[in-house]
Amino acid sequence: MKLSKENIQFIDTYLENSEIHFADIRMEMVDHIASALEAELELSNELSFYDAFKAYMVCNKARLLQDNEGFLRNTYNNLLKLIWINMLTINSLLVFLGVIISARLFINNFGFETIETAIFSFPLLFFIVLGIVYLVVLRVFNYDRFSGVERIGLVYVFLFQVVNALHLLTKYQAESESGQWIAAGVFAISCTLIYAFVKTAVSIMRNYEKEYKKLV
Amino acid sequence: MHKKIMYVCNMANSKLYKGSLTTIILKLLNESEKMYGYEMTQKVKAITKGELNITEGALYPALHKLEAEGLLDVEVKKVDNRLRKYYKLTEKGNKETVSKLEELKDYIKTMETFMNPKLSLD
Repeated sequence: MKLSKENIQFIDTYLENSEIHFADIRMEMVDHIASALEAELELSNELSFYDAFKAYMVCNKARLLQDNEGFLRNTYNNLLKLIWINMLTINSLLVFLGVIISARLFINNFGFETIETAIFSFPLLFFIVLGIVYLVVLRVFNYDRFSGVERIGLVYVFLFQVVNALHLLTKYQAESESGQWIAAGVFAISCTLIYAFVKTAVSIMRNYEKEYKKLV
Repeated sequence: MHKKIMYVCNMANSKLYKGSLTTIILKLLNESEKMYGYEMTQKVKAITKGELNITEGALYPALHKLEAEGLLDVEVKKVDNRLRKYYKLTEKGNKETVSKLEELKDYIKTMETFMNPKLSLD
């Protein structure tokens, strides 16, 4: 017996209410549960969809939630790997070199304080703008949430904490020639990271669009 | 009511099996053009006559890892009112399957020798 559209929607809503928020994770779980229920309903004509569903969840809900955690951990690992790969391209190297030279010239002409403000404010501003755009798009177009798209924001925040820590460690040597090169270097790393981040975000969004075009 | 229903809350399989999960997945996909998660769990159950039961919690993270490593390619299709994610081997995945199966054969041979040693006086 095949499940109806309403049955499938019921499973999806149940999982969403069980804090499995991301559509890409839920989609595979819904198909797995639906396939298991269909096999069970084939065996017994007396069994209703709701009884079969309830029995399935008694046995498997804890494992499904655990699976959700595992999926998210996997998402983080994949994102970090993708950002790292995108950092090691010729284009990223060109961005790094371009920014470090420009930043050094900038420090010479306008002073270290100006670039120091940029190191902190540019990544933060970028994150705020991106966050607002994402929230507005989700609300207005009522899109499903995807793990890779959302979690990349957290990866971004984490990586910039590392860059900021690096900056704090080096800012007290800003008067010296080498200190100014380090400051320009930290700013260049920030910009290269933003470049790699945007490239990664675009590639995963394209991938989602290709794979889940019926959902998006 | 629950007694009527055949869902079995299976106990976890041995750690020995867990270590071979990647090889099991690759072998299954090597024999079919493409497969989806539930189909894999049922095929393993059928082949091993219910001896080996792969849980979703073990299967999907392993599939996603193989996908991230470029060994598997995915295709999403609409089937029976829902979306289904099919997995298939990439070229890299085909090569990895050959190597993993060889590795497993060697391992089994070594273990057999270890379990049934033919001691000699030489």
